[in-house]
Amino acid sequence: MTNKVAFITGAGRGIGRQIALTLAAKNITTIVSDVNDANANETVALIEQAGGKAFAVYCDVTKLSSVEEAVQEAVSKLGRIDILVNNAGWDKIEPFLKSEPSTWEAILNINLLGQIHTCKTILPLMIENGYGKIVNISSDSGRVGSSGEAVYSAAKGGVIAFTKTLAREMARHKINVNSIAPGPADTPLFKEIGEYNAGIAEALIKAIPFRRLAQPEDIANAVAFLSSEEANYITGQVLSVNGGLAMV
Amino acid sequence: MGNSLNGRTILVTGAANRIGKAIAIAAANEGATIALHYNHSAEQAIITAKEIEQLGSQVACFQANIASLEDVQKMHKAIEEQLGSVFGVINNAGYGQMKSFFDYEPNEWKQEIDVCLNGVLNLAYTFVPSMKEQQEGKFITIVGDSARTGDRKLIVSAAARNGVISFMKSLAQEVGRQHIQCNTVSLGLIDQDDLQIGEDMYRKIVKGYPLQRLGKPGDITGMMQFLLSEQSDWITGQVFSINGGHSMLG
Repeated sequence: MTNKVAFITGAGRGIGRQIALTLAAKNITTIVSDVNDANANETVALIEQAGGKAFAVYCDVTKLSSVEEAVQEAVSKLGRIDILVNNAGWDKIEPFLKSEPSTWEAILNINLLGQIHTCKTILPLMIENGYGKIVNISSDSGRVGSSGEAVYSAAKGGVIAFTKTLAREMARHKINVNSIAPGPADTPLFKEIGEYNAGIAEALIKAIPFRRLAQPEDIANAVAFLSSEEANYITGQVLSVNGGLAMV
Repeated sequence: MGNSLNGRTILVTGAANRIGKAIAIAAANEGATIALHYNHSAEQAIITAKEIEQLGSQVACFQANIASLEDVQKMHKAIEEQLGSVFGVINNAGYGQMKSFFDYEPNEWKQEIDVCLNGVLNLAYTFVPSMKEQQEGKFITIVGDSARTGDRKLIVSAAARNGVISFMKSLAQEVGRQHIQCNTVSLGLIDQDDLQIGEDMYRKIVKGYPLQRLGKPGDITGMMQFLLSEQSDWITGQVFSINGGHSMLG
């Protein structure tokens, strides 16, 4: 798979950064989009150090206009987008009854509307090119629920249903739309959550048959598979990468 | 040709022809040594083995009725003697009849359950202990999407294979701490040029597939390589459909 262009959201750190690194190592030019320019630039520098090609663009997925500008910038540089990885996400873990409407809004905007915005903007380009691979990062919480993540799991469940419907609508254009559902991963977001939830990592590790959290590479490898030609007959599917924590 | 499976022995059941053959060849292309299992198709097995040899990979054929634990145990011994310990097992062999449940004679369904469900149990019981000793291994089973969605004309094999899905999940939990991955791949209808259906029926079936075609063996081999590789080391107990979008579950 050479000379392809991938647009990755939230690629400034964590899983998104690793997805960008993994795809870049497969000769895919990566557009590293993030709300944090410094983080995005750092990812680009890491890719370039490894001999890959990457560009940073500012993109706030919660705003359609910001997504449109980012996509326009990317296309004016690279001409097209072949792969879209909707990775940007965020959560605050707390009991639902203690959560505030402002938190719900932030969670839904980033995790669900963010993916809707990028798909709305990038799919027409893919249709025109007659080619496209979309990988939406959801979460096991969207498949089996997760205490303390009521609204997040609703958003991720929404991502899963959105993925399936888009897969049906886009199949005639030879565009594959699939979702990766990660289990708990060793990322900056997870560390953030650990700061206000003592013991959460230890408790989860005990429950995971492989007895460890996901490393970003675990997720990135699955994204690389679904965005490759090897997965041309796979669409509308959800793949959990979770060390066996949930088996749907 | 890659080398991701260099030095690994992979057993593919029902590998003499069709999907099993394609998987065996793809694994050989990645450098794997192939234990090629067959039951009745001795001639085809030899032809497939020759094709694999021409790729420069080591291969040996093993006959067994996987419904028989004794047969599977004999096969295990023979493979270890000839090819060394087995890193990955791909449960591809199956047997199903296409007809209404009420057209079966009493107990006629037993053979489907023996091959599709007990066959996988026999393979796991025999091959997974040495994976546990090695602290690594890949145990992969292929089922049909009928096992997830039901199918009035595949009623018995679908039931047996749904049992397999459950078995694979429990097994994944049991052997996770030994770093063994157990996953299930669920297929839509794969066209291997032997579907005995007319053109009208073919068109009607294809309409149910969003990607507007039936599957081909090459659609499956990439997933098998992924699941056999270290790229999937944190994936276990999962069921993954390759079906052109025919069903979208979970």
